[in-house]
Amino acid sequence: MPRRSRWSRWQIVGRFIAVAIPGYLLANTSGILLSFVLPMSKINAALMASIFSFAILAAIVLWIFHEQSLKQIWIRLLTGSALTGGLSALLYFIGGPAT
Amino acid sequence: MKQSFRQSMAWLHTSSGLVFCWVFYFIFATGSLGYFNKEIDQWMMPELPQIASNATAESDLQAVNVAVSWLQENAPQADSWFIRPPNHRSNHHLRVIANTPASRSSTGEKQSLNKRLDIRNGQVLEPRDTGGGNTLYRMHYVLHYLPTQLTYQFVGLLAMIMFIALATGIIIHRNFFKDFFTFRPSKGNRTWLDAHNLMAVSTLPFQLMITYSGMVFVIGMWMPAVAGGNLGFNAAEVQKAYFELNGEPISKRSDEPATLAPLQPILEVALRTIGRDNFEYIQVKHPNDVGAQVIISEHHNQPSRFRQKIFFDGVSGELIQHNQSSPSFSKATYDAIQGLHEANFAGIGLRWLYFLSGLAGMGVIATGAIYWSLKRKKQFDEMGQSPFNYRLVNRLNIGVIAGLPIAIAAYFWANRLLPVEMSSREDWETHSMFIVWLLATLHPLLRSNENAWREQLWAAGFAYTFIPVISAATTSRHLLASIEAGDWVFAGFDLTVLATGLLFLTAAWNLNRKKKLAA
Repeated sequence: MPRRSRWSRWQIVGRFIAVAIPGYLLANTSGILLSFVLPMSKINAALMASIFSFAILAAIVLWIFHEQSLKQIWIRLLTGSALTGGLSALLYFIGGPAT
Repeated sequence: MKQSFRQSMAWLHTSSGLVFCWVFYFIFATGSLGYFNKEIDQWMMPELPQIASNATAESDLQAVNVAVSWLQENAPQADSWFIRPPNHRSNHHLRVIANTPASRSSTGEKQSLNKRLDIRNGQVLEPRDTGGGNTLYRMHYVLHYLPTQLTYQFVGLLAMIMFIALATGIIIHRNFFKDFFTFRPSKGNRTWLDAHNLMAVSTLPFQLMITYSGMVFVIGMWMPAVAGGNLGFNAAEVQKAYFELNGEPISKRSDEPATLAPLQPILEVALRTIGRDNFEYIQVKHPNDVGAQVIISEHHNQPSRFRQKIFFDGVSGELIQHNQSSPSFSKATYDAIQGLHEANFAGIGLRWLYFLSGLAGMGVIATGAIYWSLKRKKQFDEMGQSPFNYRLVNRLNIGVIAGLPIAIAAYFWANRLLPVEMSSREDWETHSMFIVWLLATLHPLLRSNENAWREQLWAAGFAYTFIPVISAATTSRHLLASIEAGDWVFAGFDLTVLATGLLFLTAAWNLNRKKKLAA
């Protein structure tokens, strides 16, 4: 079976898992952060952010399948999730934009 | 080994596009047909009288009266009544819909009524049992035979994969503008790629819209954390907030009987407000209960899911609320995205454009699969190999790409040929479609590639061109009669299937000719 791709089977599987777990996580935490930052009432911001979150996830997927190092992928996605998630939690507890 | 961005995206484009391409093909086929679901519904119920489509103020009021009498008699304790007079593309006949839970129904079982009434005398019109075009439409998001909760979620996931395929396709397309109209016939693989690109690029706004909006439908299933995150993930609070975002007044059943307010005066007030021509349907929530509510809705007349609604108290007849527009910017955005996907607002011209764009989408998927298959063949030929998996996929490709259209034609054949009084007729029309599809996927396993393609294209050609013939043989609503009567729903359907059949026959004949030239 001709294999043109530069990746081994495990590197590909690793990337799919990277999409499903840290990638999906980052898309969600970024989306939630966006919903705190948008200048609208909470529910409206949540809806807008939800609509955008698919574009965020798509961008993450494209990056995962271009980035060379699987290790870097996981590190950056998890770090990004921690940052955006942490910031969101902060904004939640100190109160986001006025409803 | 470092790769350019384009090379990575090419790999991703092939993977995301190919793995589920057969399901994508099915979704685009049934979704495209779904834009004409009401018209196909009509064609599949030839017993229903053709209705003149000029509704008047009197006919609407009469329709409502007739509907209310019938509903009071047959579903007085329903959760909700829908009354749809014949005033729109979607309503050729007076439709009444009522759902009564088991606890309050006369039969002791949950009752779901969906009937067409004769506007003159309130008689129930009984056309043949059929899933109609609506069954095809529903298949594009819940597939068939499998639990719908699961399949809906799966199709939502597929939308995300399709979006990746689209995005990566755009990225890897070299010379996007320079090659916009490139089509080089008779160049083998190149031609297939040109066709793939041309069909995708020429309908690109549609493809992007349909895929992205497809994802937005499943926000609740696939991005629930973002949808409720900033409210603290409290499910009850989130639900309440989204309900309020809808901006519709609450109506609650109180289990205390009360006389339903007469609908005529309510309707007259509503029609004065939204305009005569804009009225589409009435919904009565909790009829004959203290908590009754009457909702008058206008048509979809803008690219949005939103439409004006006027809410009345169902006992006093008092106007409660008039929703003139989407309550907020984000809701309006959401409504617009969904509305563009559903295209309920589309007139006949735009509807055809949607349909043809959907067919182009089918073409993109089919040519993509074929192009991949031909490229693989070249690689294998060079290595002197022909793995079983590859040959199997090639055969199954034929069964899906050519076989699905044959199966859909079989669905229409079954509608005309299955006995009208047959029990489970509706199910068997759909079974016919899938049985034929199964046979179409098995047939190529017994034939060579070239023969299988040719035979299935001939089969598709005959299957479609004979639909109007079978229709003429089994009903009185044949093509010439329809044209004479100005019935463009029936005539349009017959002409479209004829054209489809001719296209397949042409393709089959061309393949035949190529074979003769090569021999």
